[in-house]
This record gives sequence, structure tokens and C-alpha cells, in this order.
Amino acid sequence: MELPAERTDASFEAFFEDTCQRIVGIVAVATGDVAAAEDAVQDAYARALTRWGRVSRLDRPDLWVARVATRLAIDSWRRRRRETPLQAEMRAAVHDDIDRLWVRWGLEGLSPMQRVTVILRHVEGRPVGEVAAAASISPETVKTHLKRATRRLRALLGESR
Amino acid sequence: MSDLRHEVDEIGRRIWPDSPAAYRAMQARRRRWWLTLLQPRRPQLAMRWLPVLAAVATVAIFVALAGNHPAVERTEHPGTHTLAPTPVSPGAPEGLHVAPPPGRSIAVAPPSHPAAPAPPAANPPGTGAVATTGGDSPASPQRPSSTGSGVVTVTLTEADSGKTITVAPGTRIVVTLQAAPHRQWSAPRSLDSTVLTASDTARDAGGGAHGTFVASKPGHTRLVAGQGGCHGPLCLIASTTTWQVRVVVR
Repeated sequence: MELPAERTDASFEAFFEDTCQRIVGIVAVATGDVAAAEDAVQDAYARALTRWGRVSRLDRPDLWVARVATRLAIDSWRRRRRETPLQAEMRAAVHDDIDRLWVRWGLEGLSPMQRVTVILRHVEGRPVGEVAAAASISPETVKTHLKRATRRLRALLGESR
Repeated sequence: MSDLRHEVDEIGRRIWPDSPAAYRAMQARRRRWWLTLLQPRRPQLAMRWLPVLAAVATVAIFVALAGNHPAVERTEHPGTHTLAPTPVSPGAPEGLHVAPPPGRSIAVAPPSHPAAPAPPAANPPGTGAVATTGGDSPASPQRPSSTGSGVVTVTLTEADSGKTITVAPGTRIVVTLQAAPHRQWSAPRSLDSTVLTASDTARDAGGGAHGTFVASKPGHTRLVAGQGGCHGPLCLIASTTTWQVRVVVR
């Protein structure tokens, strides 16, 4: 059963305002590219609005948006990585705050997907199954990403101590 | 990790400090969905195939233009020809090979005993002379041939492409197109069969073509022939041209 257009717009707008800042923050931290994160999150919300009748019935519509936005952002990041040298591109685009956060939390050496899994699992506190659904990967892959990320973080944090 | 969460939230707030404005920007981006069609998902892959696509498009354009019939009939000013004439072919058959100088057209008048109505006053009947119009040089001394039955015959070859000739009703026009490497002519035809009636048109076995036409009534039309059946890379260049002669009957 589809919601009336006015109710759809109202409920979606409320959902957008409640969740947009956190999701754009997650995607920006995961990819390190603010512009790509903004584009990806806008596209993800646009897709959610198109399917709002179905997405609104999910337990966590924000995770659906986060999953779509992360996928779009990572695809964009991969394209840009092929087009230009990674470090030059990233350094030019990374916001100072994200850069400092990466350094502080040891996220700098992780891949975007590892950052996504770490943020969703340890920051958002989501179970592995939800992280896997949000990242469109299998739970085993999530565990692998988390294991490698944890090993890397330990090595980085251990070196800094 | 809760500090990390707060920092992520703070970064999100700094990126989009005004949620309603972000919502409006998202809606505006949603209305510009068609822009995504212009952005290939794999730019390098698209660039790799771009020369292939360009080549395919070029071949498709040439194939479309190089049918057995001319694709487009050009518009010209009456009584003029637009292509520079080339030297007369030494292998031209019997009859008059009409080759006017640049910027001129030829008028052919019938002999004293025409098989059709008399020509206009500009070309006095009974002379059978070839007159030029549209130019500033003296008239060409060339004359059309007259057969035993008194019918004036004008012979055209591929060197006459782009020219304009003026003939009187009853004049016989013989078109002979010689075969050449990478070039196979289609049978010449008249775009208006009521003005120029074809009596015999055919392709020769060696790739040439010939046709015979009779000026039936006053008017103007074109004799055209295309280059079809061409094979090989040179066809990309050779097949773009077609043969055509504008014929004015009066």
C-alpha cells in the first residue's frame, strides 16, 4: 500500500533531516572525499525517495541509505583512483577534520570498505549481520575486514605508543 | 569508540550544517538525474572504445551515403554547374563529348530536321550548334553528332559530372561511365522520366554502366548514377561521390 504523496514527502523529509548528517559523516570518513560523499549520499536519498514506500517499512531505513551511499561513494572513489594517483587525489580532497580523525583513530591505512565495517560495527554498534547487509557483502567478508582492520589498527596504535 | 562516533557526527554536521538546505539540494540533484547519463561509469573503458565507436559511425555514414542511388540531390542555381570540369576522357565514344569550361553550361540545338518540336530562339533551329550559357568566354566550337536519322546525340561521361547541359526535345543523350579500380557504377537513371525517358540503361560486366535517354518534353531533371558494389578500404573514399548531370530541355 503506497502512502499519499504529501505524507510520503513529509515522512521522508523528517527521515532525511534526522539521519542525513550522520550518514554523510560516515561516508565522508570512510572515503575521505567530502565531495564524493555528498554526491553519493544525495543520490542514495534520491533513490530512497523513489522507493520510499518499500524503504520506509525497513527496520533501519538509514542503514539502507548508508549502504547505497557507501557503495556509490566507493565506486566513485575507485574510478578516481584509476584516473589519478591515489595519494595526490586524496590529499587534495580530504577535509582537515577527516584527516585528523583518520590519524587519531588510525583509519588512514584502512581501505574504504574496512573503514565502513569498522564504523558500522564499532561506532554504530551494529551486529555483523546488519553490517554485512549495509555494506552488501557477506558476514564472512565483514569478519575478514574487521579482523584485518583490527590488526592494522593495533599495529598503527602500537607503533604510535 | 563513542568519541569516534561523536567525531563522525560532528563531521557530518560540518558538511551539512543546514539539513533543510541539504534536502533542497538533494531534490535539485534528483531533478537533474539525466546528468548521470552523461557520466560513464567506466570512463577509461569508454575512452578505450571511443575510437572503435567513431570508426563504426564513420563507416555507417559512408555506407548510408554510398548506396546505388544518390542520397541527396543538391540544389543548384539554374543554368550553372558547381563542380569544376575535368579533362575530357580520351576514351569517350562516338558523338559529342560535352565538356564546358568552368562556370558555363551547354545548350544543344537539334539539326534542321528534328524529331521533336523546335528549339527556342536562343538556339536557332537548323544549326545543330552547341551554345554555352552562363559564362563570359566565347562559345565552344564543339558540336553534337547527328545520326543518319537526324537525331542529335550527346554523349556524357564521368568527367561531365556536376555540369549542366541544355538540349532540345528529341535529343538523344548517351551516358557512358567507365569502370575504374574500386569503382562500380550503377545504371544511370533520370530523376524525372517524363522529361528524360530512358530507353536503355544497364550496368556493364566490368563495373561500368551505360544508358540512353531521349529528351521527351521541356523541363529540367538530373541524370544520376551511384557507385555501388564497392569492396575494399578505398570504398570509404571512392563511394562518397556520385555522378550527376543536370539536363535542361527547352
